[in-house]
Amino acid sequence: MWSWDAFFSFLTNPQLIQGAWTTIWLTTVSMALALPLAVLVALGRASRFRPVRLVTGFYVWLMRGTPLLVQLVIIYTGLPQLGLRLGVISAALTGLVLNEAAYLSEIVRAGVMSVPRGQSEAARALGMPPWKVFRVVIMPQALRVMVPPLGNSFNGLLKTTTLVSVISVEELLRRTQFAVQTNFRVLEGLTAAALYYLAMTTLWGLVQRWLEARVGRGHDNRPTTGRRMKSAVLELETR
Amino acid sequence: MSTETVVEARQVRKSYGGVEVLKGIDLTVRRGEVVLVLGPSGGGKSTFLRTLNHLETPDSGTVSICGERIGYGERGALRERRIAVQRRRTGMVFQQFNLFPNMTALDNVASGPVHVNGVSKSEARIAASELLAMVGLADKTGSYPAQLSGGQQQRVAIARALAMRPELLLFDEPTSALDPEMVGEVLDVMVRLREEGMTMIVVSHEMGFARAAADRVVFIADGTVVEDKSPDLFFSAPEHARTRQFLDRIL
Repeated sequence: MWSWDAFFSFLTNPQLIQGAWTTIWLTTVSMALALPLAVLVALGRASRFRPVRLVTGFYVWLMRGTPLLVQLVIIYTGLPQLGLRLGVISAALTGLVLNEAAYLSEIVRAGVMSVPRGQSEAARALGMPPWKVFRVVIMPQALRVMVPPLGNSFNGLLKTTTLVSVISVEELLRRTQFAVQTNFRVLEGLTAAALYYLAMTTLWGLVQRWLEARVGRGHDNRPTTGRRMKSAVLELETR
Repeated sequence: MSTETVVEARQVRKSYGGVEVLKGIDLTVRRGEVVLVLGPSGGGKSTFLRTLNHLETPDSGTVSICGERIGYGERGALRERRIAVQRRRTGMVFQQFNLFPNMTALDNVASGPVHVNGVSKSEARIAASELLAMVGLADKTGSYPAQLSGGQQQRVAIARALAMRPELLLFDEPTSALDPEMVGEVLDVMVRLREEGMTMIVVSHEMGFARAAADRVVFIADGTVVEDKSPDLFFSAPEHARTRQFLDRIL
């Protein structure tokens, strides 16, 4: 039997609100730390030095080839065996950042590769040193390509943080589970939690649209609609 | 025209995958000279032009700009960071313009002074707007490259190269990607630069420009300099069969 009373009391439960806040900041901080790391990893994979390429390639292979859940448990519960004891939040952040950076590095790599060679040549011909070429010319243009998949990753990460409940981080899911244990209203409790996630991802969707418009300066900024996709496809076919 | 040497290339060689594209090219260009480089496609003219600012590294031979050897210092080959400093003396204009699409015309022109010389943004923009006015684009300062025609983009690209106050300008087929009616506006700017005494090396098939503005025509084919003389002599009395064969086909 569904109880609206129980549902609304979950929806306004301070426990859940606090949990949602934890989810938001865990996601934001993880993303903020993972992105610069991903840039370094992407640069490392394109390095002139073979050892650097090997190490960064191994890292991406390892992180993408094993479940985050396993990584989290190893970091929090396994590493103390080797004398490395991390607090629960540190362990969660370490796992999320290391895992996410591996995926993001592929997005960064694709973004950098999407910038035409002529762009870096023009910058070099002006006399820009390599890091200026990267920061002033390559990165801003790569970002335009990267923002949609990065936004996708942020959206995914909002929900992936549920995994850290396993190592007892009190984010939204774990708080909801605690709250449910007081009255065993599982359906109402988790529906309320699902609504919280939906609200967070929807809000993020708005932020992402704003970001896309911002990095798209100088390009055609209209949102991609079905009609425009269709005309782009037609244009390709008639070439 | 003075006798001061701006470009001195000696025995420049370059191979790609076993194919020798440049087979020992020599070229000397004095201050104020305008040199048009002609030749069949695949003959190595663009590659040679790109060795002059080390966008291509020659396998052997030397390139000196204003007496400074490019790419090499007292202790051997230079790192890209040091070559970048050497490139400030040379401006380059590309076939595909290569403007930065995320910057306005004004910021494209200001990008060199700001990001290479460390000039303040406001100061660089003032100079940039003067340069844009000089190439006839005073009203386009706020436009992004995508909003400009090909001819306008190429003029912005020339202004961007000029903003670094180069000793030498390299043009790599500057009008080849343009609609015919836009070629003139770009060539006009180049002719004006010549009048102001700019040293230029131009890879192009624009015969009109060759006759009107070039001091010398250098014909490069099969990786070597086949002919190097004044436009009048080049077109009226080419010495080599290879040159005549080429001229027959394009004139």
